[in-house]
Amino acid sequence: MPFAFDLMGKLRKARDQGMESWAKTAIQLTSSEPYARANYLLSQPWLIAAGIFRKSREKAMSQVLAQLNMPSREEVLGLSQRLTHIEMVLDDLGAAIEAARSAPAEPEAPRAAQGNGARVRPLAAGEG
Amino acid sequence: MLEYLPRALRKVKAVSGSSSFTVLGWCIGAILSTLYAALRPDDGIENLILLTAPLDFANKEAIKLSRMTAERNFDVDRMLDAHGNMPAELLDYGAKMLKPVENFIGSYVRLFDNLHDPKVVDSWHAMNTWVSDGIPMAARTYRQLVVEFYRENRLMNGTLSLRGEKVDLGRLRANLLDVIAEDDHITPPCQSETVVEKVGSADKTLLRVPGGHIGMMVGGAAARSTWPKIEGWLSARSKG
Repeated sequence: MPFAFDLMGKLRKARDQGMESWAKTAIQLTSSEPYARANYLLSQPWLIAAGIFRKSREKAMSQVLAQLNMPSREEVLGLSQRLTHIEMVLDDLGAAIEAARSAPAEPEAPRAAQGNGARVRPLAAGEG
Repeated sequence: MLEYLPRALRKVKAVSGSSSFTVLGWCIGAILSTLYAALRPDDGIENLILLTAPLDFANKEAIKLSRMTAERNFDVDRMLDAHGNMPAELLDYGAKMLKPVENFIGSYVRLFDNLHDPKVVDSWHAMNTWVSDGIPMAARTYRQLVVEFYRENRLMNGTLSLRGEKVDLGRLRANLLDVIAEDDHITPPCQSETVVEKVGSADKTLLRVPGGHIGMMVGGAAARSTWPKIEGWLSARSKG
């Protein structure tokens, strides 16, 4: 029986074992309270700066848009909301019409007393 | 949710011609499905299928994302102030950091090992594209998820309100199939199990399947274990 030494297989196995233990350690680390706390503390300066930058960028952008006589973000958003509202109302109307069309036809009401708006009273026993 | 979903379901009913229907939700979709089924129990929801539904946030130790989103460790308002909405990349990063070596290195090592097999490469590419193809979460939705769900567990405590309507799980009467992935690290089983006791459904089933948060739903193992079981449950309760 020839001796076959699978070097790649051995290396792969060693790699997988190493990664497995590395993964376990990493999970313990990223699930820990100190990690969450450190993440929070390290992200704060960046988030504050990003917030300030975003606000100043939006302010500058709205000034530029105003100078170019173009609609601002708020105006586009307002228009979008109104269009969405119109779309929903149209959808409701469509559904109501469809429901009315598919509803069984009601028997026609008596056509007496036309023109004067008087209502027809059903005859009681002995009347007439 | 209370504006779009009723209209979408009305359209489903009009197109299908059926007055009752089944709703299936996975992960956050399962939260939305549960809320809707509890708020509108008379809309025709016959069957409700929840896959890895993060509904109970009481066990802060078992839920790894709870530590990340705790008030002492996460300033949700500052995050939203910086970004406007919650970027999909950050949501993806947060979920991946629960298993960093597997997600950032192991996934690519597996791809390297299988480069000779086009089927595996295609499957890896499809999965990777889907995972990376997130969209930002609307700021108010994200804030509500973090504060009212992760921190305050309002749904289970019975204190959650949507547009002034109190969400009472006892009003949920649809037949319920609650599917839990045994190795889910994003939504551990403790987040999904307890809803079965809270809902008002007469017919409720808790199903445990092997796999993780995504593996229980897609891939060969899901096709062999999860979906045939769901199909069996549903066919027994389907009127059509």
